[in-house]
Amino acid sequence: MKSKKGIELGFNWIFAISVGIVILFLSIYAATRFVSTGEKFRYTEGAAEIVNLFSSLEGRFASKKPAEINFREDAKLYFDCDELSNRPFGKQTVQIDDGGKISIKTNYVFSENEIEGKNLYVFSKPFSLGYNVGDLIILSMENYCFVDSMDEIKDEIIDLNLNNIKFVDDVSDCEEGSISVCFNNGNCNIKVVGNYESGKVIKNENEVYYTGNLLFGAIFSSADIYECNVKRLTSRFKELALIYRDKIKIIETRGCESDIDIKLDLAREFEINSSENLIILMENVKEIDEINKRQQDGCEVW
Amino acid sequence: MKKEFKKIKKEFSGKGQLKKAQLKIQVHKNPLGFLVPEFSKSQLKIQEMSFMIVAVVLFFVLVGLFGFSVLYSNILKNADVINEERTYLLVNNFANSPELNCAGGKTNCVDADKIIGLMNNKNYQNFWEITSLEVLKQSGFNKTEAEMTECSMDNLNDCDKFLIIRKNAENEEKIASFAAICRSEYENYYNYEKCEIAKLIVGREVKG
Repeated sequence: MKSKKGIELGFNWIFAISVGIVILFLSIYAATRFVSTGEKFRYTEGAAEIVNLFSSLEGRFASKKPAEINFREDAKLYFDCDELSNRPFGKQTVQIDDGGKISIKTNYVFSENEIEGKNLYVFSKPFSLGYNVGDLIILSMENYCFVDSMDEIKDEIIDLNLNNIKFVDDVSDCEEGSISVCFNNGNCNIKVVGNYESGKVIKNENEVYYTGNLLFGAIFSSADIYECNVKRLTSRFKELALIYRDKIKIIETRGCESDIDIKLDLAREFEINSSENLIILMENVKEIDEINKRQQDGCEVW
Repeated sequence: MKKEFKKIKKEFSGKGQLKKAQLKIQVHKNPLGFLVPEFSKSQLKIQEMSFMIVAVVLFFVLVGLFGFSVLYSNILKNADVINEERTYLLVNNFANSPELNCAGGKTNCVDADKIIGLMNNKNYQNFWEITSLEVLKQSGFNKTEAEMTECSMDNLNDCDKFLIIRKNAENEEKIASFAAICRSEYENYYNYEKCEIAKLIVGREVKG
């Protein structure tokens, strides 16, 4: 005969067990949420500190102080650029992993849209369109191999002492996994067509045009971030032109004469739809800069 | 009913000692039902449990709120530290920014003639994440706020302070740095650059 004895569970026990399970699950859920939220905040904080680092590389420190940030583990950085928001200057955002996005309003960061790695290499270069417009912040996490590069670029990079850029004479000497950059007609991931002053960079079938230090931006950044930053830089160039226009009015009352203001107005009205237009703008600006250099002492506008 | 009430009243007045069993019966009987609602034993238990659940939930909510407030205050504190750091970097580098820097790119030098243009350009009001930006000329160093003359296009040679950005901030902290301030001067048919010391004062909103 089977025993009819069973375990008697009173209401108290059923209630305690069910409520206990609910509380346990809720507390586990809350703990994981708490940890993930804390992690998100840490990433957001990290992104904000990176933006501070960009500011520390600007001005008098531009092209003098490279930086290498070592993350404890592989980090993913996402960059975004929008020339239409925060008018007229546009803005960028940086995000580490799934942390919050931090706005970059005063810096011009050139990088791929998404970079991943343990070491982040940062350097900055000043950018002028006649007068100083801003500093370009160049970011990279990958290893680069510059094939047969121009001497000026080689000297500048060697001065910066960056560990992720190697110089070789032939593309076959590049380390495996590194991104090759050819300065002649070689078969590389990135091709530079032009000279140190201006030209174009071909990358992933996209062509972007550069003048001066924008060459570094064109090599290290994605085409869309590059084009967006070119527009942001030209917007700042135009706002600065207004400031210089007011300065010309003031120094005219002190015996300084110049016809820069009319030429500045023309440059300011020049529409920049892509980096290709930048080459034309640069030609106009060179002429204005020459006039400014010819001004008598104490009458230079910039 | 009246008789029963009297009986219980008598028992409660101490004349008669109640046994444990009697007490239990009393609960069931509850002749004062019109004053105290009548509950069965299981109903009371459920009530007890629900009070317990409410208490447990309340406890966890309070613990959660405490944790959240600690986390939130930490975030605010860290955000403020980062913001302060950013303002320090900005104030140290302001004189070298393209908007203020002297002609010829002199380091740590502010162009007084450019400041007027910057004051006129409203687009710069939100360019930097700051609440105020002032450039104090040497003549204003020992003056009170009321004694200072604000600079404009008409009184450039006879003023104390350039007020470039002024926003209303509830809790503002001001950070200052020194720089040279230069402007072109015309004397005896000769143009030259006249420089003096100035104080760059940047305001930021303190949060948390």
